[in-house]
Amino acid sequence: MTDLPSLASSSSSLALPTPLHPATVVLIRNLEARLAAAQCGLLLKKLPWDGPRLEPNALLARTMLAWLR
Amino acid sequence: MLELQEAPGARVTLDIQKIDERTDQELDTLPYGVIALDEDGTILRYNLYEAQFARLDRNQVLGRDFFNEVARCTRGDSFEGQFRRGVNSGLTGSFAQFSYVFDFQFGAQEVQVEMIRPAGVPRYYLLINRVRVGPARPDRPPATLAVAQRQLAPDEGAMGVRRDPTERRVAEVPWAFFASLRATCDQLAPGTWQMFCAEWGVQYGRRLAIELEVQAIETSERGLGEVLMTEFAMMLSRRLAQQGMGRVSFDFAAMREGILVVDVVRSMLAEAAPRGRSKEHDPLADLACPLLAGVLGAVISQVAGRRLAAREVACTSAGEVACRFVVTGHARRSTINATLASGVRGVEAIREALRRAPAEVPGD
Repeated sequence: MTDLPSLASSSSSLALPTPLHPATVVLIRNLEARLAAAQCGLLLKKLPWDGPRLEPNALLARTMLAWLR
Repeated sequence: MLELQEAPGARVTLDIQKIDERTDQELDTLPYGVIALDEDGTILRYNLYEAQFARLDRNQVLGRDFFNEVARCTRGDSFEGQFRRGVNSGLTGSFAQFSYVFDFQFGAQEVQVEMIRPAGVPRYYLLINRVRVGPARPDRPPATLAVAQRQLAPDEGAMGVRRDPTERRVAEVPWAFFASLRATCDQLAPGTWQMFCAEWGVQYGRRLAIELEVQAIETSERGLGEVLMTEFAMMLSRRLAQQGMGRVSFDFAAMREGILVVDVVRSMLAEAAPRGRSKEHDPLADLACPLLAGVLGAVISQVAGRRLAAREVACTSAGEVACRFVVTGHARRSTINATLASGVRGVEAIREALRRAPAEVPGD
């Protein structure tokens, strides 16, 4: 399995306030984004429990999509 | 040199001297404003990006005087003067590059402008790159502001014209429109629905990406690839929901394997698909949303800055809870296609097939 690109350069800002649980279906840290997500009915879900922390609310879209192969 | 979007995520360089040879459809995929004028300043061509930012309908500006009827904010020596001097000089190639501020009634836009005359044609091109957008400048006299769409075509509502908040002409289409299109395709060109819709989706997705790019710049002063993943996901989800296509959500569980899963519940296309027996045997007939797959692939490719593939792998038209799409690198599409053609469905089955597949050829 290919490792994901390192997030070391921005790891402090990516650190999550609480550990994720596999059942976590929504990971949006600030209230404003949470409300916006609720309004459009969007779920950003099923983030990996033990992998690198993929946080769509902290990563640029192009950075995150770079993982696709 | 410009970059021209030839395929989702794939860019090729474009010699600006040959910009006149590009079709309107090709100009519509460029992430810059492009306007072609004749020597008097009459608008001959006007691409999608420019129309989105100016909130003007291309059909209403073609044939009009750019400086006096449309972009009145460009009158004067610093913009129109450079154009007139360039025309009078007879020079070809790039004859002016400068910064400017467009003043609209809805806001101001700081732009970089390049004026070009391709050799051998009586047309002059304005290439307009947005640098910054902001609120309207309060000190601008109304007569110097760029024209608004409602001024170009007043009372058009009485003539059956509808527009969205950004002045694009829209039409309300019931699900029967898609059902009848599918029926027509099955009747006249059996077995081509998947191929037709996949390409249709890509073509539309490229234009939707331009629309979202404009929205991202207007709201956050950043391009679509530079906004947070959450913002991009919400923009795309909200836009498709506004269009009544269904609710889109993003599933990142398979990102370690290089796979993004996108779910769409209550897909308009799936609900418009025929149910039950089909006259033609099509191994992919149960996958009713290739149009959405094309749209997702084109938009996400644009954001990623490279070519990606999106395929529907499960569909509500076949009884699934949601239509599910996988987005991967373009090279893995053949494995996914072969797996789907064998009748296998579902995200997990596709993931397993990709795990077992030989290494893909880079750049395929």
